[in-house]
Amino acid sequence: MVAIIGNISLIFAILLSFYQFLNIRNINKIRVLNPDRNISLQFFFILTAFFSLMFAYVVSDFSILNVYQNSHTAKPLLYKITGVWGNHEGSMLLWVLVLVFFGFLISRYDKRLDLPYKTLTLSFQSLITFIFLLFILLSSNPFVVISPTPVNGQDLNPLLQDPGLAFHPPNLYIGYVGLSIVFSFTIARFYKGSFDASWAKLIKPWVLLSWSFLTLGISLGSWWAYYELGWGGFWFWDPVENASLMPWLCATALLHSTLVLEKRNTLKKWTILLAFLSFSFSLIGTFLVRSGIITSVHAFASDPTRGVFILMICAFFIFSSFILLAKKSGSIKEEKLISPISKEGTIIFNNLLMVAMLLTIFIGTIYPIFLEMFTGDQISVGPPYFNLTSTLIMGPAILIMSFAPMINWKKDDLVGLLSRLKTILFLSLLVTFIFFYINFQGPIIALVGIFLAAWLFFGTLFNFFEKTKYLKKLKNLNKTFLGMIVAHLGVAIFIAGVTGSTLWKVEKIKTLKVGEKVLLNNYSLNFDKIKKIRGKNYIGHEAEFNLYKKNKFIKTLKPQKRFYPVQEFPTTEAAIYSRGLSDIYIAMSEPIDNSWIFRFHYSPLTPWIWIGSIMAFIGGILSFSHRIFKRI
Amino acid sequence: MKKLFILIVLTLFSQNVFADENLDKKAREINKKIRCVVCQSQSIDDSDSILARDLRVLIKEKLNEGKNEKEITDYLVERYGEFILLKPRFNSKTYFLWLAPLIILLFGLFLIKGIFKKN
Amino acid sequence: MKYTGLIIITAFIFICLFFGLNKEDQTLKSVFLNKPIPEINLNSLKNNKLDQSDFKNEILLVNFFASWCLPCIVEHDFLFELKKQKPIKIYGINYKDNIKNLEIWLEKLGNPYSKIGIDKTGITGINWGVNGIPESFLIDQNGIIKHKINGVINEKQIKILLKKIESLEK
Repeated sequence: MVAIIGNISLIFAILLSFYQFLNIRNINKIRVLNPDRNISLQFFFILTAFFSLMFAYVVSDFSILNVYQNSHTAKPLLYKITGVWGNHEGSMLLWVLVLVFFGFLISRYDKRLDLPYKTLTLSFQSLITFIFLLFILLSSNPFVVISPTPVNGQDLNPLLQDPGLAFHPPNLYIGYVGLSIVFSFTIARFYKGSFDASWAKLIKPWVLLSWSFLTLGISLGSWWAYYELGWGGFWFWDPVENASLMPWLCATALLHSTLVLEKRNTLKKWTILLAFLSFSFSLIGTFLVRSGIITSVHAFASDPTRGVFILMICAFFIFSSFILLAKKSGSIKEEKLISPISKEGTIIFNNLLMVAMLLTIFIGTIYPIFLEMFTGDQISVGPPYFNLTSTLIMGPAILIMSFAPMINWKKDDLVGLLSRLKTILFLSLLVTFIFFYINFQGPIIALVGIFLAAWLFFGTLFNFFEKTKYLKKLKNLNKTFLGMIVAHLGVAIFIAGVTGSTLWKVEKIKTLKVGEKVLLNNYSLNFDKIKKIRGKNYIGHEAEFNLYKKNKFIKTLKPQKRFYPVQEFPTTEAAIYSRGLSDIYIAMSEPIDNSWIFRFHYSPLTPWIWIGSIMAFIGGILSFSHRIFKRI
Repeated sequence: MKKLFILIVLTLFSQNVFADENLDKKAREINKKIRCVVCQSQSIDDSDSILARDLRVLIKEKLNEGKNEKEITDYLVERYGEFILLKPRFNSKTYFLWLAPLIILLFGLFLIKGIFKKN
Repeated sequence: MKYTGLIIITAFIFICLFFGLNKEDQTLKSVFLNKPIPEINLNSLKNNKLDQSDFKNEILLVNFFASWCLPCIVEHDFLFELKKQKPIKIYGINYKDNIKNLEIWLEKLGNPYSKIGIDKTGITGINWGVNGIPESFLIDQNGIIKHKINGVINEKQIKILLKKIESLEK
C-alpha cells in the first residue's frame, strides 16, 4: 500500500515537473501561465512520497526493501524516523523534497519577482527536479517491494544512530539544494532580464540561506565526528568532508561577490560563474559521496552504476551552464575598473583566496584517483597536506577580513586605514602575548593562530563601534550589518577554537584497571567502576570516571563502548566535560585482560569551534531575515 | 660519595624519563602522518585496528633503536608503498599536487591585475 | 578564449572521473609485485623453520591467516579446492594467533598447508606489507612475487590463480 502511494506520488511529481519545464516554450507569449499551482502540487506529491516512506519506517513495514535493509523493529523511534535519510534512496528523496520545497518558497513568498522571470526560474528548477526524480525512479527507488516480507530488518549503521548525524544531512541538503535555486535564478536571467544590482539583490537572500545551513550542517557533522568516532578530532579532511566544504567555500565567495555586483555593478561574469560553480560543487559533492569513487570513512552508500548516473547529471548541468556563459559573455557589460584599496578590492582578494582554497581541496581530493589512473601509483593525500595548504591560504584571508568591512567603497586612503589598524594591532598583539605568557609550551604557529583570531575579533568589534558611534547610535544598525558582525566574530572565535584544539591539545592513551587514575593537566580522573549496559538495540560497557580538580570533585564522566549485534558493529560514545574554555574528553577502547584502553584529551578552546560556527549561522540567518522581510 | 652516587643515578634516571617522554611525543607525531591502510581515511594514531597498533609499537621500537623519522617512513614505504604516507612526498608524482595552490594563486593574481586601476 | 580553457579542463576532469568509476580493483597494490620475497624467518608449527631457503625451484602460494579471522574459514575450503585442481605447495603464515586455537582450528577444518610459519608478533606481516588477513601471494620458481590476492580466495580468484600458475610453468 505504502509502496503504491509512494510510487504514484513520484510519478505524478515527475510528470508535473516535466510539464512545468516545457512551459519554457511559452515564455514569450503575452499571457504567461502562472506556475504556482504546478509547483505546489509537485511539493505536495513529493511530501506525500516522503511521508509514506517515513510511515513505512515508523511501522517497520519490511515489505519495502529499503526499510528492510536499513531498519529494525528494536530501533528507537527517533532513528526509525531519521533512518529515512540514513541511506542512499531515502536521502535522494529528501534531496528532492528540499528541492521542491525551495521552489514552493519562491513561488509563494518571493513577491519581488515578475511573472515571466518567476515562471522561467521555476521551470528551470523543475528541470532539476525532473532529472533527480528520473534518477530516483530509474536507479534509486525507495519503494521497491520484496516478497515474501522478511520478519525483521537489517538495522541502520549504528554510527548513524545518533542525534548529531540524524540532523546533519537535512541541514546540509538545505544548503546544497538552496544553491540550486540560485542556479535557476541565474540561468533564467540569461533569457529574461540583465545581470544588474537587482539580480544580485534577488539571489542574495537565497545564497545567505544556503550558506547558513551549509555552515550548520558541516558543523553538526564535525561535532558528531568529535564525540562519536572516538579519536577526539573534529575535522579529518576526509573526502566526504571535503565534498561538503567545497560548496561552502564557493558560496562564501559568491556571498561576497554579489555585494560588489549590488553596490558597484561589476564582477558580473565572475558572479555568474560562482553561482554556477556553487551548485556544480554541490552536485560533485553528491557524486563523490554516493559513487564510491573515493574510499572514505563516511562513504556509507556507494554503487558505481549510480555513480555514472550522477556523473552524467553533473556533466549536464555544468557543461550547459558553462557553455551558456561562454556564448553570452559578450553581451554582459562590466563597469569600470577597481581600486585595490577599496571594499571591492578586498572582496576580490577574498574571492581569489576562497577559490584557491576550493580548488586546492578539489585537487587534493581527486589527485590520488588521477595519479593511479595515469601511472598506477597509489598515494594518499591526507590531513598534513590540507592543514598546511589551508593555513597558508586562509591566513591571509583572515588578515584582510579584519579590516575589509571598514573600508569604503570605490576608494579609501591608505594612511587613514593604517592609523585605525594600529589600535587593533596593539590589542591583538597584547592578547597573543598574554596567551604566550599563560601557555608558553605550544608551537609558534599556535600563537599565529591566536593572533589571527584576535586580529579578526578586534577588527570586527572596532568596525561595530565605529558604525554605531560607540553604541550611541544603535539605530544605525540594520540586521544585514549586525549579521555580518556576528558571523565575522563567529569566525574569529572558531579560529581560536581550532588553534587550541589542534595545537594545544594534551592527549594520553592509557591502559587502566578499576581503581587506577590518570592525571591530565590540573585534573585527575579516577577510574571507579565499569559496568555492563544494555540499550534497546545494543549491548556494551560503561566506565565511570570521577573528575577532580585539585582534590575537589567536579563530575562523574561515563564513556561507553557499545556493540550493535544486528549490524555486528561497535561504536564509541565519548564522555565530554565541557567548561566553555576547554573540554575534558574520554573515549573508551578495547579491553585487555582486566584492564581497558582509554584515550584522554584535554582540549583547550575546543567548544569555541562550535560556538563560532553557531554564531556564523546566526549571523547568516540575521542577514537573510532582514533581506527577506524587508523586501518580500 | 654516596650523595654523588645518588645524584648521578637521579640525573640518569630523570634524563631517561625525559628522553622517553620526548620519544613518545616524536612517535605520536610520526603516527599522525602514517595512514591506517585498513581503515582508509584514518591515521594509525586515530585507529584501534590491530595493524595500527602493531605499527605504533614498531615505530616506537625503531625510535628507541635511534632511527630517525626519515628512516622509519622509508622502512614503511618499502613495505606498503607511498600510499601509507598521509603527507605525500615531494617528487615527480606529486609536483603538481604540491605546486597547485601556488599556481592557482599566481594565475588568479594575473587575472585580477587587469581589473585594478593603475595607481 | 578563457571559457574554452575552462570547458576543456572541466571536460578532462569529467572524462577522468568517468574512467575512475570503472576502475575494477579498489584494493591496495603490493609494492612487492615482481620483486623477490621480503624477509621471512619463522618457527614453523612442527618445530621447524620457515625461511628464505623454503622458496626454491617451486611455484608456491603463501597465505596469511589466523583462527580468529572469520573470512579465513570461508577461504579454507577454497584452498583445498585449489589443491585439488592444481597440487601446488601452500605455505600458511599464522598471523598473531594462539597456537592452541590454531591446532583446534586445523583439526576441525583440515590442513591444506605444507608448512605453517608462526608469526606471533605480526612483524612478518608488516615486512610483507600485509594490511588485513586473509592475504595471499603467488611466488614463482625464483622466489619472485608474481601475484597478490587481498581478501578471501574464492572461485573467481582460483581461476585467476590457475591461469597465472600455468603461465609461470612455461
